[in-house]
Amino acid sequence: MTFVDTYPKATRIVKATFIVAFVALGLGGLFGFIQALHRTDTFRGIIDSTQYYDLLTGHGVLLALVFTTFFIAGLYQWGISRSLDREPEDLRFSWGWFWTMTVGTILASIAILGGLVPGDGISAAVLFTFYPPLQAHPLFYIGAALLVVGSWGATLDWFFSFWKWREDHPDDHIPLQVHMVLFTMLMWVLASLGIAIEVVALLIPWSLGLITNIDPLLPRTLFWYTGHAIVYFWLLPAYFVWYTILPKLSGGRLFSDSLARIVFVIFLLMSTPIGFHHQYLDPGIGMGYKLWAVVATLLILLPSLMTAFTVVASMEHGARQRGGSGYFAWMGALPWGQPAFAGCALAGIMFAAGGFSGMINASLNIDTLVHNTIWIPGHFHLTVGTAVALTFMAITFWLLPQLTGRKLKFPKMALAQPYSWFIGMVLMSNGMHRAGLAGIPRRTAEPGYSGFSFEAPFGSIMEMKIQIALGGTILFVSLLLFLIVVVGTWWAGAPAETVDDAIPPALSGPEHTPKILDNIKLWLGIAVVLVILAYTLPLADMLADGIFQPGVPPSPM
Amino acid sequence: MSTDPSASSDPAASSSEAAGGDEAAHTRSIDDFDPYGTLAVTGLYFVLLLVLYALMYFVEFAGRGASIIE
Amino acid sequence: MHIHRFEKLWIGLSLFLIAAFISIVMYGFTVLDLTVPGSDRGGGTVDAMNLAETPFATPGVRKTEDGEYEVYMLARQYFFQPGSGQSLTLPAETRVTFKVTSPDVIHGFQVAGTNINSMVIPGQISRFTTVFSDPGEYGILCNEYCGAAHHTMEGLIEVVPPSEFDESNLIEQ
Repeated sequence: MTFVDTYPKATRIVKATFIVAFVALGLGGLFGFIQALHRTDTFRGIIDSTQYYDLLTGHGVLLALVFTTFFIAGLYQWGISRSLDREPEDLRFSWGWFWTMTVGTILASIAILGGLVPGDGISAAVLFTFYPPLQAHPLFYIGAALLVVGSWGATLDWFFSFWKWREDHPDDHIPLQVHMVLFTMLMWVLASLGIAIEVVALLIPWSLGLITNIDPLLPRTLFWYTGHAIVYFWLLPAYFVWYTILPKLSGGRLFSDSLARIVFVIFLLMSTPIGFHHQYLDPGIGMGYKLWAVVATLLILLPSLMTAFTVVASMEHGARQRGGSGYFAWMGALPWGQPAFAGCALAGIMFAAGGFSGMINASLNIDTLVHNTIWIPGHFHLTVGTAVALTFMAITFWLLPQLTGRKLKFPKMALAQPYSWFIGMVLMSNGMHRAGLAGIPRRTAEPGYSGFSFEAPFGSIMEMKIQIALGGTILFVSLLLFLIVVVGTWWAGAPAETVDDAIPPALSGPEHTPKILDNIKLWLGIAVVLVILAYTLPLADMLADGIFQPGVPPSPM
Repeated sequence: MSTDPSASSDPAASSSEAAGGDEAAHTRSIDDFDPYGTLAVTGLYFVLLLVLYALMYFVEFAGRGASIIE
Repeated sequence: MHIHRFEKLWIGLSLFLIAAFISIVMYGFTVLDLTVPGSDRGGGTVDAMNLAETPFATPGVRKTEDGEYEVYMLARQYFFQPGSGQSLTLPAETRVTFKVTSPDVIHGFQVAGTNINSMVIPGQISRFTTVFSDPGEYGILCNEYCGAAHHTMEGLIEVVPPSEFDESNLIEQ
């Protein structure tokens, strides 16, 4: 008896979200592969440099918005159902949010892919950040809005389950996985208000021609209100895996239940009020807000550094029981031959490196060195592109047998997948970070300029380009391995006799956890106050001269 | 901060995450587990962060030619 | 709550790390004069649809009353004015203040190989001051995606020794 037998209805929802997630992953990954070859001038037979931006928009939207949101929806539905021991309360509602998200995805994809078809009048080459006055087809904004609204529906659905469970368990601690789901989603709902207001109140009417001129700084600020917190919406589900499943995969137990909860509480409080660090180099934003963003952004290192300790200690607990010893040698006793473990652990190692470049990005004036250079995608391919994406892929290997009742097909390919992703990302990210220090910008179709050339602080520009192209190719091969294993297991996996889906309790369990960490209303209230404190004054500054002033007309893309 | 020795005697008993599992593999409790390896790994990371950050800031960044000074 | 003593130590180290980073940034900001553009840097706003009545109607280098140089520049789809086509000549070892804005979409202004890097947003004036210590050629590039030919948006700054700087090309006040 595993998840699919106990919760067949929830399983269908999880499977549906995973199908959309993996289609987006395959397509977005293919676009990334083409881009890596094109912008390094390695191979240019597929697109021209104008179409590069259609593909780049598709890459960003399909991977950072669609793959993440759908996978998270499936993962969290799984966590809610197994932890609360409940099927969804009302299936019509559950399928309602799924189809809202899916229709949104289809509409946005039509707008983006329309740019590759000449003469159809539909395009959306505005990239993942869609800064006005660059203007996409209305379908792009409507689709994005539906995706966000659907994710709110999922949040409500999981709260329904929690409230029903609470009726029968008035005095229990919230189960750890449920605590993580609820705090992640509250953070996301609070954080996504910015992009929702931007898209629904400004960009949809504007793209339909109801408004002509727009003040570019206002939607940009609303975007980054959401745009940094969204990275924690991606990251916290990876933490969910690292805290609640990875210890078991290591052969041990979670080190501390209370610290895990504290970390999620801090993320609810601190994720949203720090968006201004994406606007360090903006005119029109006061220095006071920027200095506040420095302090607040660096403070949010704390929950991640705490996570590093707790997760590594949980792995060490497993390794020591597997016979590991010493200060460093214990790591050799971990189950590196298991794809799910290897993927999560390698993702964690990459996150340590991505954390470093994130610390640099947070540091105000040093942003003049790296801002909008290819250092930035070098950074977030380590964080969302590996810490999150590789964890999601790895845990898929562990979840699939529970969802299908089948054994993992092609186990050797599954094992090669995380290692090849790791190698590919080491090369690509290393090339990107160092090319960024040489001044090479992100988001450009061409490797250089006609009037001047870049000088590498160390190494050579050519060697960096080769690393990016080679790394991108290895990553794409790794992605294909993943998809082959998933499709193979789903359709042709041998029936599993038993599925090991048990999760052992924490070493220091919820009995040691203060009740206040479960107080949802209290923490949500403080989070709202912090957002109001951080954003009221700057937004009032921007709106003082009128919502649409100083304005400019649209520039259709 | 709990100092009650009985508090950690049976961590599985009151955990709603307790879903069974191979108990033999999970015998160590938090009191007889000092994660020296974790302290070593995170300590090394701490030193690395400080050194790399200082290099990035003072050599790569502050050592460059023209900067925004006002 | 049960927190292992090693973990308490680690939380202490983490807080130290955060404090150290904040201190280094503040040291750079105050002592080393390494700053960023911002609304309180005297740039202000401008009507991007009506630049004809502003100094941006005649972009170029000017000399202020107190003997410093300032550059009024437009970043636009897909060139810098001045800077593209013909290079922008500036004196070395001299304070130069840039005032950059855009009449169309959001752009970036980055001088390759330096720490000069700013967003350029329609309606806002990016104002920042720098000193080029070494004569030579510096590439300018747009580092914010601005449309289909974004990758062609580039320019050049030629920095000459102060004695060779020709003031006859300045824009009259």
